[in-house]
Amino acid sequence: MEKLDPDFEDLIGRLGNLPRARPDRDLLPGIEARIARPEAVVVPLRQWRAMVAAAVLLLLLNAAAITFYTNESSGQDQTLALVSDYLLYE
Amino acid sequence: MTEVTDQELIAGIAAQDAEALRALYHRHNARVYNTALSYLQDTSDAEEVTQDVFAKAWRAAATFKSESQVTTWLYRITVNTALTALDKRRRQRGIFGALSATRDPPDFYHPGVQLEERETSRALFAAIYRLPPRQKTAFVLSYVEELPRQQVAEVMELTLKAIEGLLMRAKKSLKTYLHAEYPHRG
Repeated sequence: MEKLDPDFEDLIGRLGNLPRARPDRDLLPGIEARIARPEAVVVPLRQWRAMVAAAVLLLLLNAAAITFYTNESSGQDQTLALVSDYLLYE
Repeated sequence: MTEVTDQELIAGIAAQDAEALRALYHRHNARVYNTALSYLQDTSDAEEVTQDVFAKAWRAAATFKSESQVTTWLYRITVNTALTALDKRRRQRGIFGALSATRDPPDFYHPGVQLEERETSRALFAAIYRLPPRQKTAFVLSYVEELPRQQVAEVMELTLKAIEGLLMRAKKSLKTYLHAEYPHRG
C-alpha cells in the first residue's frame, strides 16, 4: 500500500503500541444483570412511522366517509321533504 | 491441562453456562473495551458498549458459526454496537448537535498515552472521530487493534481490496485533519 509520508506513518504506527486501557469498574455484574433481564422488543423508528401514517390515513378515510354520508343523507332529507310537499295523498 | 478454546466457551454460552461467559469476558474484555473506546472516546460510554457486547454475545451465541474466529465475531458485534451508540449520541444532541457531532469530537486523552504525547494523541483521536464509519472501522481495527488486514476484511465483510481502499482514504483524511490543526508541522 502507498505510504503517505514517513512522519505520518510513524505517528499512526505508534497507535498500535498504546498500552491497553482498562475499564474503571468491574463490568461483569452489569453484564449479568443485562442477561437476566428479558430482552426488550425494539420497534424500529421506520416501523413506528409507518404505523402512525396508517392510523392517520384510516382516520382521514373515516372522516371523509362520515362527511360524505352526512352530506348525502342531508341531501336525501331535502329531496324527501320536497317530494312530500307535493304528495297529494299522504 | 489444556486451556478451553474460545469455540468451547461459545458453545458453553449457547448452553446458558454463565461461567463460560465470565471466562470469555476475562479473556476478551480488553479488546472489546479498547475498540469501543476508540470509537466513542469516552470511558463510561465504552463501558456501556462493552456490557452490551457481552450481553449480545450471550443472546447470539447459538447463532455463532464455528468456521469463523470468535475474536472476529466479537469485533463485529463491538463495531456495530459502538456505531449504534455513536448514532444514538448524535440523535440525542438533536439536529444541530447531529451536525456538529462529527465536527466536534470529545476532548479525549487515551488513558495509555504518556504525558509528552498527550496532545498529539488527542489530535489524532479527534481526527479518527471525524472519519466516516467505514473508514473509521478499517483504520481502528488495522492501526489501533493491529488486526491483520484479512481479519479486518472478515469483520467488515468486505474484500481485502476494499479494505486497502478504505485505509488509503482514511489516512488521507486524517492527514488533512491533522494538517488543519497543526499547519506548522507540515
